[in-house]
Amino acid sequence: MAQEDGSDKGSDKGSGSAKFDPVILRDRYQIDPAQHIPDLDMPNARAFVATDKRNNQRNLYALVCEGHLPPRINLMRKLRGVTSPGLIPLIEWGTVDWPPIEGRCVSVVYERPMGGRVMKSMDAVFQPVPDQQFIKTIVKPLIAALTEIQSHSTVHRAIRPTNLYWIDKEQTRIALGDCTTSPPGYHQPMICETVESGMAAPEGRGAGYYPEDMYALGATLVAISMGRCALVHESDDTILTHKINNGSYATVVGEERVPLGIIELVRGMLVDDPDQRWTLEAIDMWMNGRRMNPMQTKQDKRSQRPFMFRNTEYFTRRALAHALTRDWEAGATPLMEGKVEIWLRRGLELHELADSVANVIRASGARAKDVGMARDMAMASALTLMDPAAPIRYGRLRIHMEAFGTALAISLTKKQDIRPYVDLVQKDFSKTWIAAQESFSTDHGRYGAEFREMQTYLTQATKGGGVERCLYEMTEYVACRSSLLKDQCVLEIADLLPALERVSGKVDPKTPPTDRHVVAFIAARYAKDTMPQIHAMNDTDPRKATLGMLAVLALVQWKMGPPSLPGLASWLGGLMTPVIESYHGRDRRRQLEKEVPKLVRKGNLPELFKLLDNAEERQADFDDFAVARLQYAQAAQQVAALESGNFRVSENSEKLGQQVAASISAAVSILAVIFVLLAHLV
Amino acid sequence: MAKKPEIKKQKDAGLGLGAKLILLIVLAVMALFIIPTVILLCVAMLPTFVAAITDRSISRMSWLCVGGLNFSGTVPFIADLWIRGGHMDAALSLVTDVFTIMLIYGAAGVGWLLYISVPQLLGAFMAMTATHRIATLKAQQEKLGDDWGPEVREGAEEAVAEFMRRGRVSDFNTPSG
Repeated sequence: MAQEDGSDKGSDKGSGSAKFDPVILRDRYQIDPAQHIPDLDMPNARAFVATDKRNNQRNLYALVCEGHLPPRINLMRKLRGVTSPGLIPLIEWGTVDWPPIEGRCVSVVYERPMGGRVMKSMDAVFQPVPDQQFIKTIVKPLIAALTEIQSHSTVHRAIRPTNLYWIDKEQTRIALGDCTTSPPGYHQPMICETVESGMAAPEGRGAGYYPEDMYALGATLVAISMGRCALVHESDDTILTHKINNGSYATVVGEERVPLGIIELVRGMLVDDPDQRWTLEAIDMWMNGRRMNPMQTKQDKRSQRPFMFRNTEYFTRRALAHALTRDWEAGATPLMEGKVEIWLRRGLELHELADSVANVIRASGARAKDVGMARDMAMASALTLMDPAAPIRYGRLRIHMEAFGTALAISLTKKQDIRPYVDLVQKDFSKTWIAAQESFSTDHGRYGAEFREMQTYLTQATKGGGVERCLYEMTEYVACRSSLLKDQCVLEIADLLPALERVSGKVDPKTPPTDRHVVAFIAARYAKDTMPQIHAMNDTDPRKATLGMLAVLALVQWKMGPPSLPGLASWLGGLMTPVIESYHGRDRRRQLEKEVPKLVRKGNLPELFKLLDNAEERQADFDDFAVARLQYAQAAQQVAALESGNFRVSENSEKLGQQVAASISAAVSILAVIFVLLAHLV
Repeated sequence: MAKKPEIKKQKDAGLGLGAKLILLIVLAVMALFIIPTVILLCVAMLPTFVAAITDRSISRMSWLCVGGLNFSGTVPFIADLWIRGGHMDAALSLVTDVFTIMLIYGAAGVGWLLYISVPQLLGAFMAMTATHRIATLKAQQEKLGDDWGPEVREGAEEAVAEFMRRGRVSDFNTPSG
């Protein structure tokens, strides 16, 4: 289970005892790396004391995302400045230079909860709030917080007992903690996740919709009301299986005593059917005294006879699909051999579904023992048909469609195999998934379009395409994953060149600053203006490729600044040899070699580009070189002629000689006429 | 626009019979007077006609070169014919005189020699300065190599091969642009 112990954070070199100067966020908030607050750490971020330079009386703390998981930048934008009784106010956010990792990190400044964390860990036990005060002290502020969050058209997705805080020292005001420093639902304990979300891997859970938050709040309220979490010692798999078989309410509450006053509320919030789960309006009516009818959870259709798989009986298609997924290789046999289809047809009498499952398996042409993409894709399709609300299950992949980009980003960060993602895109699994869904959503069309777009990028093997492009196209705020920009936290295109400038002194100068990730990042974030240059960069001619690289970065500097990048210019200047050598004239080369260092010192990439790709100079060089080649060839011929003793002049010269001879002859004839005339007349 | 050629046609057709008759008479009188001269010219200028027909040189100007000197040799005899009254007898005596014909044809031969020898003289001049010229050309090549690198030699081998094939150096046109 997820603990708020910083388990996903990066290296521990930035310990609190180290001496580092405070850093400043947006010229106002001072974050002190030397003052670590371990009690407020989040799984993907560490907490440090923060100070408002304009009002140092404020109690603030900052969460610095030192971990490798992508933070939710769009949520930071939305929640900045939002105040609500049950929400710790997010004061400011931004990237800061972070000395402990010698790089940059996203940091989020919050008001510091003075009463500390409600539950320090999932196995902690504390004195529960008295029943009579529970609604007022716990439920109302948290519902207010959710109302505020929903009013901003977003979801929290980090509601769990360990992410609740007492705002005051007296521990009378509760508030929801940070939800921005980790991907949505990533660190949620299984007890707080819906069945559908729990079936997904942490990176594949996705933001979901409001019902996911309601569910998590319901499970959290149960733990808070009891002063402990009942299922803390159970494994995630056991909890999930229990939820699938017995329903969420029965699993979360079990035999425990929940205050009578909130039983109905919790039951409503833990309904497994998201359409029937209580909404904020329902809770509001309940709090205003209207008593609702007990929820009847819609049960999945049960089979008359069980399906036996690995000595366990399964009665519903979801339970069976989940079991087949858990043991992928063993699950292939009954699925691919048609036993599941027969059970669907005879046991559940779902003939249409059975036909669809049979069709996808038959169409794949794969057998149970054929380990490979065809079989796994057929299994994924069949499992999606059996349980459309479940995540996509393909090999080891367990992701919801909406979390595709985030999961890809995390897999790349963790250096996991990304082949399954590529397979899903190349086979356009979105079509199968959309066709299997029981209800229509406007998101479905978007997923289909995104997959088709990704297919296009995957076919581009050159820089600016591939899986890297897919990553940046599918996730709006994922930082550039280039190995050159490690720990530089480049979230936006404007951050790219300053980051390259910072790392310019640390990297091998022979390495080009535009690796696949950098180019894909530029293409995704700044596609309109840079594609011609990126195409040039991918040219096989080293001159064009080098100029393309310079052109891309020069364009970004021209449009986005900063005005001077001497480090990056020096780095690029050292890589310009192919461009300089593309000029034929040695004088021109020497002139360029003299000029380049001057512009490098200025740090102006557009000027450097203009110098190296001056069209007039290039044309003049081309023309002069053509003349020089002719002169050389002519001289070679003449030398050969002279050395061989063949002194025949050229055609032009011979023609000229003949013309001269003709002219002499004509002149002689005229003189002869004049002479004869004079001789006879005089 | 379409009417103009018709008007011109009408004007051409309008040359009267009388005018044509006068023109014919004038030509006939002139022919009677100049026939001896024409006969002399026809015989004397034979080398020029031959040169014009057989010319395969580059400039195709042998007729002018041969003709110029051929005419120079003929002019004194035309003057002599005219002084003797321009009669047919005088003309025939001139064309049948071996000495006269040798002199005229000799002048034409000098024309041929001139036409052939002037280009050869240029080659001979080059030969006289060959050693110095080779050194100059090689120095020029070395300078081009220094200025433009070894890639400037591209095409030189083909040019030499071209010379070997054709036996004469090529006239290279400077690239436009």
